[in-house]
Amino acid sequence: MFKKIILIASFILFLTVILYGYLRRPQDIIATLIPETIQCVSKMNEDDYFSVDLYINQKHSYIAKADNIMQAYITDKQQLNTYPITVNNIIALEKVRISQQSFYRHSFLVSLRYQSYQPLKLTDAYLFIRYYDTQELNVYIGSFFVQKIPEISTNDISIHYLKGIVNPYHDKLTLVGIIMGLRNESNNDILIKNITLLDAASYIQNITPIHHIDIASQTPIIELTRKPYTIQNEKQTMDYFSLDDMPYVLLTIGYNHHVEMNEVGFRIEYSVNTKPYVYFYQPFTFYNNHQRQVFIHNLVMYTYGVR
Amino acid sequence: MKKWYSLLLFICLLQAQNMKLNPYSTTGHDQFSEIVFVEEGYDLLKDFDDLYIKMRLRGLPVRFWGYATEIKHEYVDATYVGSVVFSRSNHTQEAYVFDYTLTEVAYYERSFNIEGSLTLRGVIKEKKVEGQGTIDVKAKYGTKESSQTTERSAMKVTVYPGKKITLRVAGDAKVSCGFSKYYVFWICMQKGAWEAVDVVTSYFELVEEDV
Repeated sequence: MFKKIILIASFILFLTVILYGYLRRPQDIIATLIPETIQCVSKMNEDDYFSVDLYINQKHSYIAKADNIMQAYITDKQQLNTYPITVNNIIALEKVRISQQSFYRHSFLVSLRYQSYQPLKLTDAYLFIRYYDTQELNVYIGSFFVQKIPEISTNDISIHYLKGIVNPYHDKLTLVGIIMGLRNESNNDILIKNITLLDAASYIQNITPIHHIDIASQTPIIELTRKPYTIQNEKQTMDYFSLDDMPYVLLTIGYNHHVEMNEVGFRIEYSVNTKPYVYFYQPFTFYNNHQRQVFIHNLVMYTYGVR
Repeated sequence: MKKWYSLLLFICLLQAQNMKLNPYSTTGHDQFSEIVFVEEGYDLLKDFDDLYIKMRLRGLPVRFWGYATEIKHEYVDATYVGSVVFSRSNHTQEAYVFDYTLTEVAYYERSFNIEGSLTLRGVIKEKKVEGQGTIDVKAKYGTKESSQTTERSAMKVTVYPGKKITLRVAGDAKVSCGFSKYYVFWICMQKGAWEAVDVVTSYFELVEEDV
Protein backbone atom coordinates (compact mmCIF):
# COMPACT_ATOMS: atom_id res chain seq x y z
CA MET A 1 0.00 0.00 0.00
CA PHE A 2 2.76 2.39 1.05
CA LYS A 3 4.69 1.57 -2.14
CA LYS A 4 1.61 2.38 -4.20
CA ILE A 5 1.25 5.80 -2.56
CA ILE A 6 4.94 6.56 -3.18
CA LEU A 7 4.55 5.48 -6.82
CA ILE A 8 1.46 7.64 -7.41
CA ALA A 9 3.06 10.63 -5.63
CA SER A 10 6.23 10.26 -7.75
CA PHE A 11 4.13 10.05 -10.90
CA ILE A 12 2.20 13.23 -10.00
CA LEU A 13 5.48 15.02 -9.18
CA PHE A 14 6.94 13.90 -12.50
CA LEU A 15 3.88 15.19 -14.39
CA THR A 16 4.00 18.50 -12.50
CA VAL A 17 7.69 18.99 -13.38
CA ILE A 18 7.00 18.21 -17.05
CA LEU A 19 4.00 20.55 -17.13
CA TYR A 20 5.92 23.32 -15.35
CA GLY A 21 8.81 22.94 -17.78
CA TYR A 22 6.41 23.05 -20.72
CA LEU A 23 4.66 26.17 -19.48
CA ARG A 24 7.92 27.93 -18.63
CA ARG A 25 9.59 27.08 -21.92
CA PRO A 26 11.21 30.04 -23.66
CA GLN A 27 8.73 31.68 -26.02
CA ASP A 28 9.38 33.59 -29.18
CA ILE A 29 9.31 37.31 -28.64
CA ILE A 30 6.60 38.75 -30.87
CA ALA A 31 6.27 42.47 -31.31
CA THR A 32 3.91 44.67 -33.27
CA LEU A 33 3.05 48.33 -33.52
CA ILE A 34 0.59 50.72 -35.06
CA PRO A 35 2.27 52.91 -37.69
CA GLU A 36 1.91 56.59 -36.85
CA THR A 37 3.23 59.97 -37.86
CA ILE A 38 6.15 61.19 -35.80
CA GLN A 39 6.99 64.87 -35.93
CA CYS A 40 9.76 66.69 -34.09
CA VAL A 41 10.08 70.45 -34.19
CA SER A 42 12.85 72.03 -32.15
CA LYS A 43 15.57 74.65 -32.13
CA MET A 44 18.96 73.93 -33.65
CA ASN A 45 20.85 73.30 -30.40
CA GLU A 46 18.13 71.08 -28.92
CA ASP A 47 17.79 67.30 -29.10
CA ASP A 48 14.53 65.86 -30.39
CA TYR A 49 12.58 63.50 -28.17
CA PHE A 50 9.86 61.13 -29.27
CA SER A 51 8.43 57.75 -28.31
CA VAL A 52 7.64 54.60 -30.27
CA ASP A 53 5.04 52.26 -28.79
CA LEU A 54 5.74 48.59 -29.38
CA TYR A 55 3.33 45.86 -28.30
CA ILE A 56 5.39 42.89 -27.08
CA ASN A 57 3.97 39.50 -26.02
CA GLN A 58 6.17 39.36 -22.89
CA LYS A 59 6.30 41.88 -20.11
CA HIS A 60 10.01 41.42 -19.33
CA SER A 61 11.66 40.50 -22.59
CA TYR A 62 15.22 40.87 -23.81
CA ILE A 63 14.26 43.40 -26.46
CA ALA A 64 12.54 45.63 -23.91
CA LYS A 65 15.69 46.43 -21.96
CA ALA A 66 17.49 49.56 -23.09
CA ASP A 67 20.83 48.20 -21.76
CA ASN A 68 20.70 45.36 -24.30
CA ILE A 69 20.68 47.75 -27.25
CA MET A 70 23.96 48.16 -29.09
CA GLN A 71 22.85 50.51 -31.89
CA ALA A 72 19.60 52.07 -32.96
CA TYR A 73 18.61 54.02 -36.07
CA ILE A 74 15.68 55.56 -37.84
CA THR A 75 16.01 54.52 -41.48
CA ASP A 76 14.15 54.45 -44.76
CA LYS A 77 13.06 51.18 -46.36
CA GLN A 78 16.27 50.58 -48.30
CA GLN A 79 18.44 51.76 -45.38
CA LEU A 80 20.05 54.33 -47.67
CA ASN A 81 19.53 57.05 -45.09
CA THR A 82 20.12 56.13 -41.47
CA TYR A 83 19.87 58.51 -38.55
CA PRO A 84 21.39 57.33 -35.26
CA ILE A 85 19.13 57.57 -32.24
CA THR A 86 19.50 56.83 -28.52
CA VAL A 87 16.92 54.68 -26.76
CA ASN A 88 17.02 56.33 -23.34
CA ASN A 89 14.45 54.18 -21.62
CA ILE A 90 11.77 51.56 -22.26
CA ILE A 91 8.66 51.64 -20.10
CA ALA A 92 6.22 48.72 -19.87
CA LEU A 93 2.63 49.97 -19.86
CA GLU A 94 -0.79 48.34 -20.00
CA LYS A 95 -1.73 44.88 -21.23
CA VAL A 96 -3.93 44.44 -24.33
CA ARG A 97 -5.34 41.38 -26.08
CA ILE A 98 -4.53 40.92 -29.75
CA SER A 99 -5.66 37.74 -31.54
CA GLN A 100 -6.31 35.88 -28.27
CA GLN A 101 -2.82 36.71 -27.06
CA SER A 102 -1.64 39.10 -24.35
CA PHE A 103 0.62 41.94 -25.39
CA TYR A 104 2.20 44.65 -23.26
CA ARG A 105 2.54 48.17 -24.58
CA HIS A 106 6.16 49.28 -24.27
CA SER A 107 7.05 52.89 -24.82
CA PHE A 108 10.54 53.26 -26.30
CA LEU A 109 11.69 56.75 -25.30
CA VAL A 110 14.06 57.94 -27.98
CA SER A 111 16.23 61.00 -28.56
CA LEU A 112 17.77 62.19 -31.81
CA ARG A 113 20.35 64.84 -32.59
CA TYR A 114 19.74 66.38 -35.98
CA GLN A 115 21.48 69.56 -37.00
CA SER A 116 20.24 70.96 -40.28
CA TYR A 117 17.59 73.47 -41.25
CA GLN A 118 16.78 71.15 -44.15
CA PRO A 119 13.81 69.08 -42.90
CA LEU A 120 14.36 65.36 -42.35
CA LYS A 121 11.48 63.70 -44.12
CA LEU A 122 10.88 59.95 -44.30
CA THR A 123 7.50 58.92 -45.71
CA ASP A 124 8.23 55.28 -44.81
CA ALA A 125 10.33 55.15 -41.68
CA TYR A 126 11.73 52.11 -39.88
CA LEU A 127 13.06 51.66 -36.38
CA PHE A 128 16.17 49.54 -36.65
CA ILE A 129 17.68 48.17 -33.43
CA ARG A 130 20.75 45.95 -33.14
CA TYR A 131 21.07 44.14 -29.82
CA TYR A 132 24.22 42.89 -28.10
CA ASP A 133 23.23 39.29 -28.90
CA THR A 134 23.70 40.33 -32.60
CA GLN A 135 19.99 39.92 -33.38
CA GLU A 136 18.18 42.79 -35.05
CA LEU A 137 14.72 44.31 -35.01
CA ASN A 138 13.53 46.29 -38.01
CA VAL A 139 10.06 47.68 -37.52
CA TYR A 140 7.97 49.89 -39.80
CA ILE A 141 6.88 52.83 -37.66
CA GLY A 142 5.04 55.05 -40.17
CA SER A 143 6.32 58.44 -41.24
CA PHE A 144 9.02 60.55 -39.62
CA PHE A 145 9.65 64.27 -39.80
CA VAL A 146 12.15 66.58 -38.13
CA GLN A 147 12.27 70.33 -38.58
CA LYS A 148 14.79 72.64 -36.95
CA ILE A 149 13.56 76.17 -36.41
CA PRO A 150 15.52 79.39 -35.85
CA GLU A 151 16.31 80.55 -32.31
CA ILE A 152 14.36 83.75 -32.83
CA SER A 153 10.96 83.47 -34.44
CA THR A 154 9.48 86.14 -36.67
CA ASN A 155 6.58 87.95 -35.03
CA ASP A 156 4.83 89.63 -37.95
CA ILE A 157 2.02 87.10 -37.90
CA SER A 158 0.41 84.90 -35.28
CA ILE A 159 -2.03 82.03 -35.28
CA HIS A 160 -4.87 83.01 -32.98
CA TYR A 161 -7.32 80.21 -33.73
CA LEU A 162 -6.97 76.48 -34.42
CA LYS A 163 -9.52 73.72 -34.64
CA GLY A 164 -9.43 70.36 -36.40
CA ILE A 165 -12.17 68.87 -38.56
CA VAL A 166 -12.01 65.16 -37.79
CA ASN A 167 -14.06 62.68 -39.81
CA PRO A 168 -14.12 58.90 -39.91
CA TYR A 169 -12.47 57.78 -43.14
CA HIS A 170 -12.38 54.05 -43.90
CA ASP A 171 -13.28 53.38 -40.24
CA LYS A 172 -10.36 55.45 -39.01
CA LEU A 173 -10.70 58.87 -37.39
CA THR A 174 -8.83 61.23 -39.69
CA LEU A 175 -7.85 64.87 -39.43
CA VAL A 176 -9.32 66.02 -42.76
CA GLY A 177 -9.38 69.77 -42.21
CA ILE A 178 -7.99 72.54 -40.06
CA ILE A 179 -9.61 75.89 -39.35
CA MET A 180 -6.84 78.42 -38.82
CA GLY A 181 -7.12 82.02 -37.71
CA LEU A 182 -4.20 84.21 -38.78
CA ARG A 183 -3.50 87.69 -37.51
CA ASN A 184 -1.29 90.45 -38.85
CA GLU A 185 0.84 91.61 -35.92
CA SER A 186 2.73 94.20 -37.94
CA ASN A 187 1.71 97.55 -39.43
CA ASN A 188 2.51 96.40 -42.96
CA ASP A 189 0.56 94.46 -45.53
CA ILE A 190 1.36 90.77 -45.31
CA LEU A 191 0.97 88.39 -48.19
CA ILE A 192 0.72 84.66 -47.37
CA LYS A 193 2.55 82.74 -50.08
CA ASN A 194 2.34 79.17 -48.86
CA ILE A 195 1.37 77.03 -45.87
CA THR A 196 2.83 73.55 -45.45
CA LEU A 197 2.47 70.92 -42.76
CA LEU A 198 5.46 69.85 -40.64
CA ASP A 199 4.80 66.21 -41.37
CA ALA A 200 5.94 63.56 -43.85
CA ALA A 201 2.69 61.65 -44.39
CA SER A 202 0.26 64.51 -44.98
CA TYR A 203 -0.10 67.62 -47.10
CA ILE A 204 -2.46 70.54 -47.64
CA GLN A 205 -4.79 69.89 -50.56
CA ASN A 206 -6.41 73.28 -50.62
CA ILE A 207 -6.75 76.56 -48.71
CA THR A 208 -10.13 78.29 -48.77
CA PRO A 209 -11.52 81.24 -46.82
CA ILE A 210 -14.04 80.44 -44.09
CA HIS A 211 -16.40 82.93 -42.49
CA HIS A 212 -18.02 80.96 -39.67
CA ILE A 213 -15.77 79.23 -37.19
CA ASP A 214 -18.48 78.04 -34.81
CA ILE A 215 -18.35 74.55 -36.32
CA ALA A 216 -18.16 71.23 -34.48
CA SER A 217 -15.01 69.20 -35.11
CA GLN A 218 -17.13 66.25 -36.24
CA THR A 219 -18.70 68.25 -39.13
CA PRO A 220 -18.26 66.37 -42.45
CA ILE A 221 -15.60 68.14 -44.54
CA ILE A 222 -17.78 68.06 -47.67
CA GLU A 223 -20.29 70.30 -45.90
CA LEU A 224 -17.55 72.92 -45.60
CA THR A 225 -15.81 72.55 -48.96
CA ARG A 226 -18.88 71.54 -51.05
CA LYS A 227 -16.56 69.23 -52.96
CA PRO A 228 -16.04 65.45 -52.88
CA TYR A 229 -13.24 64.48 -50.53
CA THR A 230 -10.73 61.66 -50.63
CA ILE A 231 -7.51 61.65 -48.66
CA GLN A 232 -5.51 61.46 -51.88
CA ASN A 233 -7.07 64.42 -53.66
CA GLU A 234 -4.47 66.32 -55.62
CA LYS A 235 -2.78 69.38 -54.19
CA GLN A 236 -4.35 72.53 -55.63
CA THR A 237 -2.19 75.45 -56.67
CA MET A 238 -2.59 78.18 -54.11
CA ASP A 239 -2.86 81.86 -54.88
CA TYR A 240 -1.11 84.31 -52.61
CA PHE A 241 -3.57 85.92 -50.23
CA SER A 242 -3.54 88.96 -48.02
CA LEU A 243 -3.96 88.36 -44.31
CA ASP A 244 -6.42 91.21 -44.00
CA ASP A 245 -8.70 89.61 -46.62
CA MET A 246 -8.72 86.12 -45.14
CA PRO A 247 -8.45 86.13 -41.36
CA TYR A 248 -9.79 82.55 -41.15
CA VAL A 249 -8.90 79.79 -43.58
CA LEU A 250 -9.86 76.15 -43.97
CA LEU A 251 -6.93 73.87 -44.80
CA THR A 252 -8.08 70.60 -46.40
CA ILE A 253 -5.66 67.82 -45.46
CA GLY A 254 -4.54 64.99 -47.73
CA TYR A 255 -2.39 61.95 -46.98
CA ASN A 256 0.26 59.99 -48.82
CA HIS A 257 -0.38 57.15 -46.34
CA HIS A 258 -3.56 56.88 -44.35
CA VAL A 259 -2.16 57.03 -40.83
CA GLU A 260 -3.78 58.55 -37.80
CA MET A 261 -2.28 62.01 -37.29
CA ASN A 262 -3.68 63.89 -34.34
CA GLU A 263 -1.09 66.66 -34.16
CA VAL A 264 0.78 68.75 -36.69
CA GLY A 265 2.74 71.99 -36.93
CA PHE A 266 2.95 74.56 -39.73
CA ARG A 267 5.46 76.36 -41.91
CA ILE A 268 4.05 79.60 -43.27
CA GLU A 269 5.84 81.50 -46.01
CA TYR A 270 4.87 85.16 -46.21
CA SER A 271 6.21 88.43 -47.49
CA VAL A 272 6.28 91.94 -46.08
CA ASN A 273 6.92 94.61 -48.73
CA THR A 274 8.08 91.84 -51.10
CA LYS A 275 10.68 90.62 -48.59
CA PRO A 276 10.20 86.87 -47.87
CA TYR A 277 9.96 85.41 -44.35
CA VAL A 278 9.13 82.04 -42.83
CA TYR A 279 7.05 81.50 -39.68
CA PHE A 280 7.03 78.17 -37.86
CA TYR A 281 4.29 76.99 -35.54
CA GLN A 282 4.95 74.11 -33.14
CA PRO A 283 2.79 70.97 -33.49
CA PHE A 284 -0.69 71.42 -32.06
CA THR A 285 -2.77 68.48 -30.80
CA PHE A 286 -6.08 68.64 -32.64
CA TYR A 287 -7.67 65.59 -31.05
CA ASN A 288 -7.09 62.58 -28.87
CA ASN A 289 -8.76 59.29 -29.60
CA HIS A 290 -9.10 57.00 -26.59
CA GLN A 291 -10.90 54.25 -28.46
CA ARG A 292 -8.80 53.73 -31.51
CA GLN A 293 -9.75 50.73 -33.59
CA VAL A 294 -7.08 48.93 -35.52
CA PHE A 295 -7.76 45.97 -37.76
CA ILE A 296 -5.76 42.96 -36.65
CA HIS A 297 -4.99 41.95 -40.22
CA ASN A 298 -3.29 45.34 -40.68
CA LEU A 299 -0.82 44.64 -37.89
CA VAL A 300 2.56 43.21 -38.82
CA MET A 301 3.91 40.72 -36.25
CA TYR A 302 7.69 40.80 -35.88
CA THR A 303 9.25 37.67 -34.37
CA TYR A 304 12.52 38.14 -32.56
CA GLY A 305 13.34 34.51 -31.73
CA VAL A 306 13.76 32.58 -28.50
CA ARG A 307 15.63 34.31 -25.70
CA MET B 1 -21.02 69.90 32.96
CA LYS B 2 -17.85 70.77 31.08
CA LYS B 3 -17.56 67.11 30.07
CA TRP B 4 -21.02 67.22 28.45
CA TYR B 5 -20.13 70.38 26.55
CA SER B 6 -16.89 68.76 25.33
CA LEU B 7 -18.80 65.67 24.20
CA LEU B 8 -21.37 67.83 22.39
CA LEU B 9 -18.60 69.79 20.68
CA PHE B 10 -16.91 66.53 19.63
CA ILE B 11 -20.17 65.22 18.11
CA CYS B 12 -20.71 68.54 16.30
CA LEU B 13 -17.19 68.35 14.88
CA LEU B 14 -17.81 64.80 13.66
CA GLN B 15 -21.05 65.91 11.99
CA ALA B 16 -19.31 68.89 10.39
CA GLN B 17 -16.79 66.53 8.84
CA ASN B 18 -19.62 64.62 7.17
CA MET B 19 -21.20 67.70 5.70
CA LYS B 20 -20.31 68.21 2.09
CA LEU B 21 -21.71 70.49 -0.56
CA ASN B 22 -20.82 69.56 -4.12
CA PRO B 23 -20.10 72.47 -6.48
CA TYR B 24 -22.89 73.25 -8.92
CA SER B 25 -22.54 71.52 -12.25
CA THR B 26 -24.93 71.62 -15.19
CA THR B 27 -24.27 67.97 -16.00
CA GLY B 28 -23.41 66.51 -12.62
CA HIS B 29 -19.81 66.17 -13.80
CA ASP B 30 -17.36 68.97 -13.08
CA GLN B 31 -15.39 68.56 -16.26
CA PHE B 32 -18.34 68.70 -18.66
CA SER B 33 -20.44 71.79 -19.15
CA GLU B 34 -22.76 69.99 -21.58
CA ILE B 35 -23.57 66.34 -22.33
CA VAL B 36 -26.03 65.52 -25.11
CA PHE B 37 -27.11 61.99 -25.98
CA VAL B 38 -26.89 61.14 -29.69
CA GLU B 39 -30.20 59.26 -29.57
CA GLU B 40 -33.29 60.35 -27.72
CA GLY B 41 -34.73 58.50 -24.75
CA TYR B 42 -31.85 58.85 -22.31
CA ASP B 43 -31.45 61.17 -19.34
CA LEU B 44 -28.55 62.22 -17.20
CA LEU B 45 -28.48 61.07 -13.60
CA LYS B 46 -28.94 64.63 -12.33
CA ASP B 47 -32.35 64.73 -14.05
CA PHE B 48 -33.62 61.56 -12.36
CA ASP B 49 -36.40 61.94 -9.83
CA ASP B 50 -35.47 60.92 -6.27
CA LEU B 51 -38.54 58.72 -6.04
CA TYR B 52 -37.59 56.98 -9.29
CA ILE B 53 -34.09 56.22 -7.92
CA LYS B 54 -35.63 54.89 -4.68
CA MET B 55 -38.01 52.63 -6.62
CA ARG B 56 -35.24 51.23 -8.81
CA LEU B 57 -33.03 50.61 -5.75
CA ARG B 58 -35.91 48.86 -4.00
CA GLY B 59 -36.20 46.47 -6.93
CA LEU B 60 -32.62 45.20 -6.56
CA PRO B 61 -32.19 41.65 -5.20
CA VAL B 62 -30.78 41.03 -1.73
CA ARG B 63 -27.31 39.50 -1.66
CA PHE B 64 -25.34 37.70 1.01
CA TRP B 65 -22.23 39.70 0.21
CA GLY B 66 -21.18 42.17 -2.46
CA TYR B 67 -22.88 44.36 -5.02
CA ALA B 68 -26.33 43.97 -6.50
CA THR B 69 -26.37 46.07 -9.64
CA GLU B 70 -28.87 46.92 -12.31
CA ILE B 71 -27.46 48.69 -15.34
CA LYS B 72 -29.96 51.12 -16.85
CA HIS B 73 -27.87 51.85 -19.92
CA GLU B 74 -24.31 51.01 -20.86
CA TYR B 75 -21.90 52.81 -23.21
CA VAL B 76 -24.54 54.99 -24.82
CA ASP B 77 -23.15 57.46 -27.37
CA ALA B 78 -23.12 61.11 -26.39
CA THR B 79 -21.30 64.33 -27.22
CA TYR B 80 -19.86 66.65 -24.62
CA VAL B 81 -18.49 70.12 -24.22
CA GLY B 82 -15.73 70.10 -21.68
CA SER B 83 -14.40 72.76 -19.41
CA VAL B 84 -11.39 74.87 -20.39
CA VAL B 85 -8.24 72.70 -20.42
CA PHE B 86 -6.00 75.66 -19.81
CA SER B 87 -6.01 79.40 -20.11
CA ARG B 88 -2.91 81.56 -19.91
CA SER B 89 -2.62 85.31 -20.21
CA ASN B 90 0.53 87.33 -20.63
CA HIS B 91 0.60 90.75 -18.98
CA THR B 92 4.34 91.14 -19.42
CA GLN B 93 6.28 92.77 -22.24
CA GLU B 94 7.83 89.53 -23.45
CA ALA B 95 6.41 86.44 -25.08
CA TYR B 96 6.71 83.21 -23.15
CA VAL B 97 6.42 79.58 -24.14
CA PHE B 98 5.00 76.80 -22.04
CA ASP B 99 4.80 73.11 -22.69
CA TYR B 100 1.43 71.90 -21.59
CA THR B 101 2.30 68.23 -21.28
CA LEU B 102 4.84 68.99 -18.61
CA THR B 103 2.64 71.38 -16.66
CA GLU B 104 -0.32 70.54 -14.52
CA VAL B 105 -2.71 70.06 -17.43
CA ALA B 106 -4.56 66.78 -17.11
CA TYR B 107 -8.06 65.70 -17.83
CA TYR B 108 -10.09 62.76 -16.69
CA GLU B 109 -10.93 60.14 -19.24
CA ARG B 110 -13.69 58.78 -17.00
CA SER B 111 -15.94 60.86 -14.84
CA PHE B 112 -18.39 59.58 -12.22
CA ASN B 113 -21.50 61.06 -10.75
CA ILE B 114 -22.92 59.21 -7.78
CA GLU B 115 -26.21 59.80 -5.98
CA GLY B 116 -26.42 58.11 -2.61
CA SER B 117 -24.00 56.45 -0.24
CA LEU B 118 -22.28 54.32 -2.84
CA THR B 119 -18.53 54.15 -3.17
CA LEU B 120 -17.76 53.04 -6.66
CA ARG B 121 -15.69 49.89 -6.59
CA GLY B 122 -16.27 46.83 -8.66
CA VAL B 123 -19.61 48.15 -9.89
CA ILE B 124 -18.74 48.54 -13.52
CA LYS B 125 -17.43 45.62 -15.46
CA GLU B 126 -14.31 46.11 -17.45
CA LYS B 127 -15.07 46.45 -21.13
CA LYS B 128 -13.90 43.63 -23.34
CA VAL B 129 -11.31 45.10 -25.62
CA GLU B 130 -11.33 42.41 -28.24
CA GLY B 131 -14.08 42.53 -30.82
CA GLN B 132 -14.69 40.79 -34.10
CA GLY B 133 -11.55 41.31 -36.11
CA THR B 134 -10.66 44.59 -34.49
CA ILE B 135 -8.94 45.62 -31.32
CA ASP B 136 -9.35 48.72 -29.25
CA VAL B 137 -5.67 49.12 -28.70
CA LYS B 138 -5.83 52.19 -26.54
CA ALA B 139 -9.22 51.63 -25.00
CA LYS B 140 -9.16 52.99 -21.51
CA TYR B 141 -12.34 51.53 -20.08
CA GLY B 142 -11.39 50.42 -16.63
CA THR B 143 -12.87 50.36 -13.21
CA LYS B 144 -10.63 53.08 -11.88
CA GLU B 145 -10.88 56.79 -12.28
CA SER B 146 -7.56 57.96 -13.58
CA SER B 147 -6.03 61.11 -14.84
CA GLN B 148 -3.56 61.25 -17.62
CA THR B 149 -1.68 63.88 -19.45
CA THR B 150 -2.47 63.91 -23.12
CA GLU B 151 -0.34 61.27 -24.78
CA ARG B 152 2.43 62.36 -27.07
CA SER B 153 1.17 65.89 -27.04
CA ALA B 154 4.24 67.83 -26.03
CA MET B 155 2.67 70.97 -27.34
CA LYS B 156 4.51 74.23 -26.93
CA VAL B 157 2.28 77.27 -26.85
CA THR B 158 3.63 80.80 -27.19
CA VAL B 159 1.70 83.44 -25.30
CA TYR B 160 2.44 86.88 -26.72
CA PRO B 161 2.34 90.07 -24.62
CA GLY B 162 -1.19 91.33 -24.06
CA LYS B 163 -2.73 88.03 -25.21
CA LYS B 164 -4.63 85.24 -23.56
CA ILE B 165 -4.49 81.68 -24.89
CA THR B 166 -7.37 79.35 -24.10
CA LEU B 167 -7.59 75.67 -24.94
CA ARG B 168 -11.09 74.22 -24.92
CA VAL B 169 -12.10 70.62 -25.32
CA ALA B 170 -15.24 68.94 -26.69
CA GLY B 171 -15.85 65.49 -28.09
CA ASP B 172 -17.56 62.13 -28.01
CA ALA B 173 -18.24 60.04 -24.94
CA LYS B 174 -20.03 56.91 -23.82
CA VAL B 175 -22.38 57.18 -20.87
CA SER B 176 -23.30 54.32 -18.55
CA CYS B 177 -25.79 54.48 -15.72
CA GLY B 178 -27.10 52.10 -13.09
CA PHE B 179 -28.25 51.41 -9.57
CA SER B 180 -26.31 49.46 -6.97
CA LYS B 181 -26.56 48.21 -3.42
CA TYR B 182 -23.68 46.81 -1.39
CA TYR B 183 -24.48 44.01 1.06
CA VAL B 184 -22.59 42.52 3.98
CA PHE B 185 -24.32 39.48 5.56
CA TRP B 186 -27.59 40.40 3.79
CA ILE B 187 -27.41 43.87 5.33
CA CYS B 188 -27.42 46.76 2.87
CA MET B 189 -24.41 48.89 3.76
CA GLN B 190 -24.46 51.30 0.82
CA LYS B 191 -26.84 52.11 -1.98
CA GLY B 192 -27.11 54.62 -4.76
CA ALA B 193 -27.35 55.47 -8.42
CA TRP B 194 -24.25 56.09 -10.48
CA GLU B 195 -23.31 57.45 -13.86
CA ALA B 196 -19.99 57.04 -15.66
CA VAL B 197 -18.89 59.08 -18.64
CA ASP B 198 -16.04 57.62 -20.69
CA VAL B 199 -14.32 60.09 -22.96
CA VAL B 200 -13.81 58.44 -26.35
CA THR B 201 -12.53 61.39 -28.37
CA SER B 202 -11.35 64.84 -27.35
CA TYR B 203 -11.25 67.63 -29.90
CA PHE B 204 -9.20 70.67 -28.94
CA GLU B 205 -9.83 74.27 -29.90
CA LEU B 206 -7.18 76.94 -29.42
CA VAL B 207 -8.29 80.53 -29.11
CA GLU B 208 -6.05 83.56 -28.67
CA GLU B 209 -7.70 86.73 -27.42
CA ASP B 210 -6.61 90.18 -26.31
CA VAL B 211 -6.27 90.49 -22.53
